[in-house]
Amino acid sequence: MRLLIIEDHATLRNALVQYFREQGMIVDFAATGDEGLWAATENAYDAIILDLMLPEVDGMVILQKLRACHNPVHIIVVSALDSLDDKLGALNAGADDYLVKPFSLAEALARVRALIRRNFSTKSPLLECKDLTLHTLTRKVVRDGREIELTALEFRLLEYLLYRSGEVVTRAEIWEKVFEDGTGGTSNVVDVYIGYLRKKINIGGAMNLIQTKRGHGYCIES
Amino acid sequence: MSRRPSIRRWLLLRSGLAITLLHIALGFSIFYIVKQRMFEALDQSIGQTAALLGDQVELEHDLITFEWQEGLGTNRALFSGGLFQYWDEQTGMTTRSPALAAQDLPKFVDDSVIINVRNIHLPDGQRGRAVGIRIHPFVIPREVERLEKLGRIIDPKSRSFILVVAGNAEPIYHTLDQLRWVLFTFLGGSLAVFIIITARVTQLALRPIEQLSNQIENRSESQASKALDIPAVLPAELLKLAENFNRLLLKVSTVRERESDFIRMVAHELRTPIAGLRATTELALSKPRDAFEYEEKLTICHRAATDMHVLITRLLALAKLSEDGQKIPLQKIDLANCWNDCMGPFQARFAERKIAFECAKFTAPIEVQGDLMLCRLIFNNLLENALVYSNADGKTKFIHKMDAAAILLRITNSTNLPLHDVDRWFEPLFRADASRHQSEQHLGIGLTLSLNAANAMGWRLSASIVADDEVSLELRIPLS
Repeated sequence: MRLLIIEDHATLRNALVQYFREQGMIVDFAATGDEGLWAATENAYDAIILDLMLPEVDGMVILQKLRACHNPVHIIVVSALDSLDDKLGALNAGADDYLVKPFSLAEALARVRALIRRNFSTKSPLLECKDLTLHTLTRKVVRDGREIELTALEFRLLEYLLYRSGEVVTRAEIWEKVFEDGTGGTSNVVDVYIGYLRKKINIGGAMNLIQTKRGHGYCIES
Repeated sequence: MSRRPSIRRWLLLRSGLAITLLHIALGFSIFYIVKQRMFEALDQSIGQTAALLGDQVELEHDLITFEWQEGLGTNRALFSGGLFQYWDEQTGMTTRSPALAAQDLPKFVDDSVIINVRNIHLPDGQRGRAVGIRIHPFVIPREVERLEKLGRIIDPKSRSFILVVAGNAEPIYHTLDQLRWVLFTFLGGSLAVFIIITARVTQLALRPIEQLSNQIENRSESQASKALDIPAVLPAELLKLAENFNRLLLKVSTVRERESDFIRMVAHELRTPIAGLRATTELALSKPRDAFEYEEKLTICHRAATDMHVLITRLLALAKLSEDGQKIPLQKIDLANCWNDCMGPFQARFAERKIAFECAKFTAPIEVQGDLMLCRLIFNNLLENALVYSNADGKTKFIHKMDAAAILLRITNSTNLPLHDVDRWFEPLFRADASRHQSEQHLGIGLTLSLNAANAMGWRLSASIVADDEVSLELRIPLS
């Protein structure tokens, strides 16, 4: 999952970036409003954490501009302003959620995940496919009762495929959403990691869950 | 019952008092005029009767004849009810009017030219009025001729009588009592009617005040500073009050808005670093880490705590200086020395930002009344402000002028910031860029602190726009 954090306060920004990365997300960040607006319009993110009082371009302006150009990205506003008017202003301008500072990182993560789940059919933090289960909160992958150790990237890849189970996911989409540097890249890298993932989850001659759709991409049957 | 002054009570009491006094004065006037007229009439009647009776004593055939007795039959109507009595001063004999029967009137005589009627008690105990005169019998010419033929000369003045004529004043007193009762009843009744009417009129007159009061009372807190809806029928006397009240509400609304902005800004200033602290500590505790990582997180927390300490110190200083009536003990300070001390470190920083810094130096000490610490605070803030808000490659100019009363320090700098809301520059936490919260950068408190410090010392700090891209901060210090 790709996340953009636009926050000018360095301490908070750095903590958010590190925490979300440690939770297996790909995180981009911006310290000013203009940088944040550029990143949000130029890249596809699953969610944006947006501060309101930003230098150069105000957070509310970013929100309005993204919604004006029909950008569907989920936006969580984080702000020190806690009045009802401030909350209503942001939510009415197109924010999906509003968090008042100071907030818990765990709460921010839960809200981001809840928003990301809205992109997909599943509403549960537990993603399942036949005898494979992936728990997004505990970050555990279990198949047939046995826990499988995955790297952060492999976890993200499996999580993304499970979120979109039943759909054919193109290599470009996987590259964009799962890999740190989502620009450029080659399909070979995606294929290599799909291979790694298959080896780990198809343990003991279990059924191959990740199907290759030749010329299109990959699919996990729902 | 409320002890507060009340317009209604005030009007009722005072107008009631005025009306009562007026009625009492009017009542007394009416009473005494009637009394006077009635007694005058009685006295006139007594006087006329006395005049008539004074001529009713005749000396005839050496005998005294009271003529009224001769015509008693025909003059009964005139004398039968009359109260009068004669005393012969030579013989001591007395003659009473039929109405007196055997009772005597008080005997007195008044020899003055003017007839004086006095109060007496009649024999039956009733109150009366009476006049006492000395009279002499008259002798008809025929009797004089007769006596002259007899060789006797009779001088009527040798015989004198005291005549007391009285009138019953009791009916007058009775009438006056009735009049007094009527007047008191009228006074009480009219006062009651007046109070009722005045109370009703004042109630109606004060109803607009009650309506305005209810309008204020029924307001929710969120509408507390919203202007009142002034009814079209509001009396002219209240219109000005309501309009002035609305002006006051507008000022309150502005102050509340600014306070609200200030609280929002303080909340922002404090919440964001707290959020940073919380996030950093939560991140550190989210999983086991090595010592280096913990040290890194602790360093971040320490720096954030230091920044917050600076912010809180400044907010406290602001709160302290903002206290009403805050008096700073002043002493003589050398303004020139203080300025030169403060300016020194800034010259390098201006040069670093390539800002041309023209500074007129003080060549001699200038003694003013002030506080050295606050003076340094103001100078540092003004210089910092010029440094931060001057555009790169811009210009900052410092001049000073002195006249007999004060010394004027002016810092002018070019800036790229939009030059509006000059008055708001001195508001706490007002910044051109609302997002910054690093202690080494501007917190938006410096100019507020400077203004409060200047006010506390009796100095004057003001801001003005001198050109499209130039702003000036001016400090006026009275010379000691």
